[in-house]
Amino acid sequence: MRFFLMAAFVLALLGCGDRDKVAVYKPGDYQGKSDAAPWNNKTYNGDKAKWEGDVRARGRLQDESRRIGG
Amino acid sequence: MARMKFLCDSERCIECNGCVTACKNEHEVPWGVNRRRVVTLSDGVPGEKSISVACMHCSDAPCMAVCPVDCFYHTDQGVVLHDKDMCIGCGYCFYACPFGAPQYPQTGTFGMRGKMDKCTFCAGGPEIDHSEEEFKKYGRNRLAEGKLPICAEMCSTKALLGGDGDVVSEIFRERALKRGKGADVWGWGTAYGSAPAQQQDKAKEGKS
Amino acid sequence: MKRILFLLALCASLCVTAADAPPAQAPAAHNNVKLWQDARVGQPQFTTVRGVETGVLIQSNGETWRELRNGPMTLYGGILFCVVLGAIAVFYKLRGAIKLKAPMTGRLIPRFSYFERTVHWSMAGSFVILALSGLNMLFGKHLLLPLFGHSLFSWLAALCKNLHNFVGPLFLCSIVVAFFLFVKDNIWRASDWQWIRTAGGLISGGHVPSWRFNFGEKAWFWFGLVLIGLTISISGFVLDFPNFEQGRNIMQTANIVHVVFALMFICMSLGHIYIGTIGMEGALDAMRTGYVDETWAREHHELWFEEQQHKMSQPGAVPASGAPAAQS
Ligand code: SF4
Ligand code: SF4
Repeated sequence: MRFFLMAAFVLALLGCGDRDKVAVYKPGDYQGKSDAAPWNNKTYNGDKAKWEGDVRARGRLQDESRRIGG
Repeated sequence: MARMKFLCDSERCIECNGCVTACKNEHEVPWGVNRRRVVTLSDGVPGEKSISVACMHCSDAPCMAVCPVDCFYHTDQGVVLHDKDMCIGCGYCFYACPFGAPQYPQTGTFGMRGKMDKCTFCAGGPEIDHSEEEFKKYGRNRLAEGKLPICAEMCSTKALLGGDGDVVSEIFRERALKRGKGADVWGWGTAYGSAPAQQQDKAKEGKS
Repeated sequence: MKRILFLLALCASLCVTAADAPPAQAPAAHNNVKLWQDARVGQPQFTTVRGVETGVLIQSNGETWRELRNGPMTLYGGILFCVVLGAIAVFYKLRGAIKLKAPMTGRLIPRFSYFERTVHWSMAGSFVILALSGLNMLFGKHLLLPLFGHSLFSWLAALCKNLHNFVGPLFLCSIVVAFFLFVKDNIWRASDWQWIRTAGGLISGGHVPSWRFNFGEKAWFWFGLVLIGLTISISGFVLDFPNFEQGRNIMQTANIVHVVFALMFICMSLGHIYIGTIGMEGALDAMRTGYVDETWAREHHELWFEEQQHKMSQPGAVPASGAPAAQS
């Protein structure tokens, strides 16, 4: 009984407080369904560099001065 | 590593609600759910400004901090996603979010909340990419196709920018540099740069 | 801090061109400091999207709520809970159960009618469900989630949330009925002074005569059942029925009130459960069977006991508590 209470006390104290949420997604840190990286699919076959290049290029397309100014 | 961000240029947004419509169409979100909305400040007063707002994919996300089942996660690209299979519809993320991004389809009587739905940065969710389930729960996964969010990509005035934070802020920085000074700041000179500034720019580009 | 800076940077980058204009040349309409200030303080603006507070661009109170809920409310709430549990354990260790001094007589007096017991136990049952499911909402992420893993825990949390939402209104019904049932015997009597002065004889073990309910029970009734019970119910209803167009500020406040009062309620209930079960011999029987031994009545509620004896001695009298005499 006393051990159980102590354990509950310690657990409860450990559990208190706000845990930092960092902007790094470590697989294994979050044990829900893990999400595939956007390049791990049929379109990109795990080619991360190609994906990054494509997305960057599409991002630049949003700059209309580049498009009209040549 | 790319960190995905949205940026809305209030000088350019003309409140056409195209982004809102495009988002609804792209993801076929249920009735009553609006992942994106356009808010007009001082509507009808000269100098009114419009801003398109959705989930801003916060780095220290309040929604993530308060969720009692811890169903949120950051992807490698800094997109805040959540697992709808875990969500219990408690509404806490909605209380905490500064932008009112989390939405709930009302599934029950007395306003009982369904599973939370929010902007995914067109990055789908924790299901197999491009699968039927992913589309039903989270909408289209454009990021996995090498595309950016539909709202930003189709914005007619390019007020709403989305994508890698570095790219987006660079575009905005260049735009801001071209903006007219002094008397030119009124009207479209601010939004699209004053004429002399544009010419100077072209001249410069021609030289280099 | 970082996110505030980010917001500021965002706002600043959006206003920078406007702010550049020398004030002398700018028309009044272009001085849009107020526009951004209104947006920053959460003033509702225009939007075509229909819904509650859709016109609010930024609401800062969510962050306040998050800091309070994830910080002090979780931390001090957890500490309070543990301290109360510990205090009760220590008290039990030192003082032990309150035993009857005289042997039982075997003669039973009706104390709670069948109806009163039904109301009490439905109140108690729904309270326990609400307390456990509510504690799970606040502490489950830190205590159970690491044990269960996300999938199982979310299943449990969904169950808890639905139980909480549906049992909540039932609890309010039972406390309203209980209020009318027990209010008569919870009115202040002169003998309560003595109970307060001696702390009910809990420490000294001395005897304090009292009516049907002593001051401890009255405090639990007025402070627990009435004050906290109502506060929790009202704030709970605000959260349970989001279909009355209440905004987020109201719900954040309601949540804080709800959690703070619920934690107090749970801590008080620990004391009530302790004294009603292992803390006092014969106390549980009163609520289980409805009857108490004469010795128990004399030792714990002497004035009430004498009153009952007096009533019983009169032929044809109905027991004050309204217990069916033929029962058991
Ligand atoms: S839902 Fe709100 S709090 Fe969460 S990441 Fe998006 S904007 Fe930030
Ligand atoms: S509504 Fe769902 S996602 Fe939001 S805090 Fe509750 S469980 Fe988490």
